[in-house]
Amino acid sequence: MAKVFVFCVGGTGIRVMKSVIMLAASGMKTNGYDIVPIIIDPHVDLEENTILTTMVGDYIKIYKNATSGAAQQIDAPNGFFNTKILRLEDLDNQQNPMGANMAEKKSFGQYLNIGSLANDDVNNYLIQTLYSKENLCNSLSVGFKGNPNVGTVVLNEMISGADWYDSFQRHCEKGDRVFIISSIFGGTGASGYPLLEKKIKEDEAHPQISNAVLGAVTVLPYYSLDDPTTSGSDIDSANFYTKTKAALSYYEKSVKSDYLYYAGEQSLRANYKNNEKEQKDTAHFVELVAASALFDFLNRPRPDSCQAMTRAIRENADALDLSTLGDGYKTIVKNVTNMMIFDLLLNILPDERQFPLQKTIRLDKEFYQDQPFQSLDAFVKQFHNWYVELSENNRGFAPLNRISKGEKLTSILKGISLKAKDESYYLLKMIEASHEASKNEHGNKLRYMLDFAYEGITDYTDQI
Amino acid sequence: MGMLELYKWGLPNQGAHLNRYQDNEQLYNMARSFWASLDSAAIYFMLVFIIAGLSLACFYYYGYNKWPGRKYKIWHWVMWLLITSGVAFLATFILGNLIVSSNLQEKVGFLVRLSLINGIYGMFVYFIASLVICNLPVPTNAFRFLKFGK
Repeated sequence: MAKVFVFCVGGTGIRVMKSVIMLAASGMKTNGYDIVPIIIDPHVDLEENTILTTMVGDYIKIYKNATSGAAQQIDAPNGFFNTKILRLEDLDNQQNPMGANMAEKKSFGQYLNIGSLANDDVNNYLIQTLYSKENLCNSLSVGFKGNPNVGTVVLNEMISGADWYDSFQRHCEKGDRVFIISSIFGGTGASGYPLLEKKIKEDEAHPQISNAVLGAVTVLPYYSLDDPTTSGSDIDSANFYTKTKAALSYYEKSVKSDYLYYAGEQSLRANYKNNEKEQKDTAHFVELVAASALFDFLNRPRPDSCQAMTRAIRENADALDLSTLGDGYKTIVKNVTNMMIFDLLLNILPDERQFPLQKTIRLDKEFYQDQPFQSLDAFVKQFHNWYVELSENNRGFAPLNRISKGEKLTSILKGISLKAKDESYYLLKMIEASHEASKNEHGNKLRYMLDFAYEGITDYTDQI
Repeated sequence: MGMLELYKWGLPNQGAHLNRYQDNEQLYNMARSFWASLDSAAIYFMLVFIIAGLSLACFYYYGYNKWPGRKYKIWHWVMWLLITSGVAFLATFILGNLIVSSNLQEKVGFLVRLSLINGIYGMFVYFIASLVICNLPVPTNAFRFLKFGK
């Protein structure tokens, strides 16, 4: 199976990757490519980094649970969790994460070893010209704090000697693709993307890498941060556009990705706390759009020349639904809807007495208490929270209505009335889908549940 | 006396009933012909509860359960069990009135008793049919609570 190596550079790269995983879980198709995420962020203590790593692990666990048959491996599911996700360490059969040694606990000044330079050394003057005192004192373990001039120096070395890059070189085969996710207005992403792209394009010792179809999404400014004079942070979002313009003028001449996607906002609508240590930012629509670029990229052939891509919405609305998003978002909306309905069913099924599948395929109490179901349930709850974050952010991705208990499910999707009036319609379709199970007797209950639920749900959501 | 044996337990004793009219030959003859008529209609009464039980069990498992609304719940099965009983009762009563010709006063009482018995038999057939369907490898959307084993 062909792979796509997805480099997630910096905090935005991590957040976009989260959306990629959520979309993959909801059934977005990757045209047969397995996803290999590689996180490149010196800020290893970042909670979002840990969350993403855990999420990738959870996804892999569910995928494995859904594809292990009693006697042999089962094909990938058709709907939910259709895409295989692999970690670099899995490819090497290792236990330890490859990116663990990325963090530099020292300051940038210590990294450059400026202490060994004499005060009147010309190199010292050069360094003081290029970098501010704050730049030099900043600890590298919290990232580059929006300073690409720092990032370019550190990341270049970080990439050159990294285990993960060696592993990538060993495992990237002919037909595999590479995709880089980064932001353009920060430090790590803005500096990491061109460096990484250069490294890949110039890797002549590995033609399967230098010739791989290369895509990238660069996220333009989409949020602002609290005033740094009150928050005490070193990052000032007022500089985001200036940095973006500078980076864009550099990218124009230097980056050569086959497809370069730009995802961004017209103005900085969302406002986050200015805390670079935590960066606990809620999921945002722009990250979702950036994530969708990967799926678009995987369905496109190699172009004759570099292609710059972007994506628009139909109407400028605060909360986007299917009509304001436009038809281009139908697949995303449909998949998100499917997963949200699945979440609803997962809440009902363990307590659904006399559900026929209890007898036919043993979806019984024991099954609902077992680890495979518990892992799936926990993941789908994360998906639910992710969607709530998306819908409540500014601008919001909110194509679904909140359905209270007793309310009809026909109105779950804004603007379209689905034929299923309540959850019993989906449960019935699940039962009907199970009649086909005899043709595929693998005995994997979790897989049966995933397949039947997907079939049952899409029977109604196919009208989207 | 043939098929009517099936209903004997719920009907008055034929001999005792005829004896009541020993003093009146006309009524006695009417009663005898009534019993004969009942006996000849018994096969149709049997068909009524068999058809009602089988058809409604099949409808429950293969028709009704195709509709949404959690029709697989056991209480829906019980509801159709009672409907089967009601249908068998009504059908027997109507059929009895059509094919059993008698001016005997007790006719209605007899037919009600017969219909009630048929209602019970209809439920029995419905239950047996359900038991068979639940254990057949034929797909149904209903809950197979009568399935033996796992």
